[in-house]
Amino acid sequence: MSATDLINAPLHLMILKTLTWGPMHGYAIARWIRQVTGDVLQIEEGSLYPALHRMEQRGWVVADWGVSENNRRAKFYQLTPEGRQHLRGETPNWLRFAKAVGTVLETNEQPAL
Amino acid sequence: MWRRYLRFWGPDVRRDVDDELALHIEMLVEENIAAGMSADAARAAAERRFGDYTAFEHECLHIGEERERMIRRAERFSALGQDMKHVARTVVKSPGFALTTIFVLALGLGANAAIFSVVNSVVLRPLGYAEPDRLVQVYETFPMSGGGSGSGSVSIPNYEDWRAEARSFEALAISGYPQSVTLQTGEGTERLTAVPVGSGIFPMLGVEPLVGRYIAEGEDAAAAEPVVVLSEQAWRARFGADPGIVGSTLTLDGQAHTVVGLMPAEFRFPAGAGPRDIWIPLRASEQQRQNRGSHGFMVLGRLAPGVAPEAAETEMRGIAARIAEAYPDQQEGRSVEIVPLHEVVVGRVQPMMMVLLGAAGLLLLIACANAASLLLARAMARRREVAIRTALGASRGRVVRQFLAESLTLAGLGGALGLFLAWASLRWISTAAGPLLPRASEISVDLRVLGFLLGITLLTGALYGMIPALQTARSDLQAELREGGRQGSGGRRASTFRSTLVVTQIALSIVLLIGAGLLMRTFVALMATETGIATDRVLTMKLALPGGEYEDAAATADRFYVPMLERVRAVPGVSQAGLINLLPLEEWGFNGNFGIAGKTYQSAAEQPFAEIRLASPGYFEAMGIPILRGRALSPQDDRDSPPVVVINEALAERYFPGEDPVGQHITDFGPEPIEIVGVAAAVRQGRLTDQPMPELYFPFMQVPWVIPEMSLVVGTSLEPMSLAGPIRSAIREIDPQQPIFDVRPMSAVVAESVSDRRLYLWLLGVFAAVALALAITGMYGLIAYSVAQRTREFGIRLALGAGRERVSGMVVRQGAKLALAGLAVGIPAAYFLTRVLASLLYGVGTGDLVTYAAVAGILLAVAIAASWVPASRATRVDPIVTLRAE
Repeated sequence: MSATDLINAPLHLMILKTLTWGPMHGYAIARWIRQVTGDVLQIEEGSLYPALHRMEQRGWVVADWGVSENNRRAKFYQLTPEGRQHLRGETPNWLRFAKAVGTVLETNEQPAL
Repeated sequence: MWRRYLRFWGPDVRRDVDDELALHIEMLVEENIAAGMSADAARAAAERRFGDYTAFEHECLHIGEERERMIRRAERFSALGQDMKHVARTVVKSPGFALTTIFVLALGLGANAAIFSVVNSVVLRPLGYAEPDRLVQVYETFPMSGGGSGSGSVSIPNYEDWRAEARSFEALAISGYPQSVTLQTGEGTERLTAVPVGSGIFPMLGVEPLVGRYIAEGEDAAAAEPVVVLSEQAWRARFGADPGIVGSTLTLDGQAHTVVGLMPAEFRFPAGAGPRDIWIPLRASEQQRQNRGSHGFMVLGRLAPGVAPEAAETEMRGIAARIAEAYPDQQEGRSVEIVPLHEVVVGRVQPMMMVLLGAAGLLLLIACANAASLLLARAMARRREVAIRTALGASRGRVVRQFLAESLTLAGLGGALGLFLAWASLRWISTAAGPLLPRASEISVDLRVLGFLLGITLLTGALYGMIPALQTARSDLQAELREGGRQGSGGRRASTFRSTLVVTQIALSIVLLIGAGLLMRTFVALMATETGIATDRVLTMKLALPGGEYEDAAATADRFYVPMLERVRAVPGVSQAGLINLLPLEEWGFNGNFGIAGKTYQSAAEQPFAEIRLASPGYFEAMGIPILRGRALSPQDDRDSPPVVVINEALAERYFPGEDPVGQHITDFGPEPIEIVGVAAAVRQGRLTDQPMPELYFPFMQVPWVIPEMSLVVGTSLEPMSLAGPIRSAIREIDPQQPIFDVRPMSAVVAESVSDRRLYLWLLGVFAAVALALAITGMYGLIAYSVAQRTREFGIRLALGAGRERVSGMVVRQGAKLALAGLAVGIPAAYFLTRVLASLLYGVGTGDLVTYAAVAGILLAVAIAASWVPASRATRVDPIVTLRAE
């Protein structure tokens, strides 16, 4: 099990969080997440783009065509109020879950049966 | 590359996904190069990293395409919503226009819905029996003098021979004709219509009773206990829907009958016009059972599966030929005819139904043209708006769609209103047509009618919306935007088109008017036909004798008929009174062959044949029928005196040409020769359009059988109906329980004999009147509009010195031109189309000049009158005002 499989669940949340810094195209989103996590999470293109399209369908992001930093045609994604709301609501849940998983994996006590 | 052009139809999902992923690869390549790789190695690494992205490319595509679909759907709905809002705004802004259109369409659609309901119920729906297409009626045919053969009823011995020998039928069954019976209850006597049926009829028709059972095999034998089956209608109307009716006893004609079953309301036998209250077992007399020449019954058959009626007819004709050989006296020349039951029931009215449907269709076309004209007028008024909208990017398709949305909505509303109108009028039609149309009681609006209405509503909306839409969409944008919006070439084209629409309406309404006119002249001719009776001075009523009350014919005559006649004659105001078994112009079919002393006949066709009437003294005098030779029946002609008969003029002319029949004798009618004592003027038996048939009038006292129903005819110089009450009391003095019914003056009997034509005339007349109104309104609208358009021109003309008459003359001429154009198209069309009415006409041909001239005259007059108002308005134009307004 690689680090990349673990990220599929909270992938949407991470993308939404990334977009809170402003509109970005898909490559920029992946690059940012990689940089912030210090190369730990490298999002597969096969997960990123379907996730982005699904989020657009759900109305959490809207897409618009623009010009990238190297003067190419690029699709920029932007957060919507619904997306912001989803991020705000689900982030505490996920953090609590992640913390709980960590607790289980790091515990030295044998559970009482 | 070519995909770029597909963008006109919306975003190209595939290209977007490709572009997005292409960018990602490029960014990866740049990063690799920045990290030090060579260009090729950078690209190879990027693509390797990207991996096989066809899988998720598909997913992205799929998601993208689905999103596009949802967007497009939403767009379509919003467009529809926009169109609907536009329609609503239109209706609110010009309610007059909307209401007028709805009303006009409602007339056309409603007429069609109503007529189609009738056609559907009467003609299209299968008869309410099991597997009705295998049911046929079997007639006996007989040769008629002058060639050809007539069809008639069947005798019992023939029926039994057929049953024994015929192989083409799964079953054959016999039944009598509907007759009156009296029901004796505690409160008095009532009259019911009963149908005597053989036990095979009910199983053959295959309809299950609501309660109980039907007449079983063997119950029609003479010795069996009498039973009766009720119809649901009679059960509700006469017996108060008594739940315990089955099992109880009814006294019919003095005999106790046990009620064994109740048939549902949809069941009707025999199918046809008239009430069917109860069914009783067929009890034929000994004479009817034995005598092959006594034809009084109808025979139904169910063909064996796969057998065609023609094949069955061939077989039956063979059997009939064998019977004719075996019994030459009674059966010579007689054969068999088989007619499918559906045709028997509806065959007579089917042609007229189709004509009415066609007329309703014409009316709908006129309504469509009218509505299209209205819509076109409005569209012309909004030309600029449409032009601007098109210039700003609305597609032509969008414009047309908007027109259609409007026209379909208005058509839909018109259809709903039309449905209501049709439903309301159907009640009236069903009642009025009750005695005329078979299955009139079944007339109702069912799913097929609703489907038909929906279909023609959609067609109407599409048709009348398309026309103006196409006209407007074609107009020259530049011209509309540039000018004041009035005199564009599109406007002129639309005006011509509107004129065409008006001319069409006029032409179609001419067809309807001529049809109605022909029918009206027929009706007038019918009513003017000499009936041979003093119809406005005769009152008639029917008397039905409860069976069993008097033992025999003699008792009946002595204790009832004779004293009753005397008592009635004593009523003040009565000049004469008499009895007859069948009234003229009402019923006929009681007839037979006879011989004439001293003459012999070679073949059956030549044998004298006449209608048989049983009359009392005073009959001819009461009816005002003159006696041409000899004398009328007198009280001396009773049981003890020599048998006599009075013949009518038709019989004299046919069988005694050039001789004096008085003093001669007829034979083969009873035990001894009967002397002819007088010749009466002929009256018509069945229909005013038929020639009078030969008749034999026998004194009722001299016939040995009980006559269960007679009509009393009373001659008076007063208003006939005023005597109804006193005569009723007089009869009741002799027999308080005597059922008396169908009290009407003879003029009503005559009128009823033409009531079918009256109904058709009424319907067609209504259509024609509505059509004319619509056409003239359309024409008026067009001329008024054109006058409004030409105010400037009229102003100039008047300023230049043209007289007022000149200007108004121009307008009236325009109206007359439209009317003449309509006539030019309509008259030939009418001549061609009214040929379908030929079978209904009497006294006029389809090319009747009087009718055509009258319609043409009326139309021109109305057209000129309708042009008058706009014409006078044209003359009132103040030239200074109009010129200044430019």
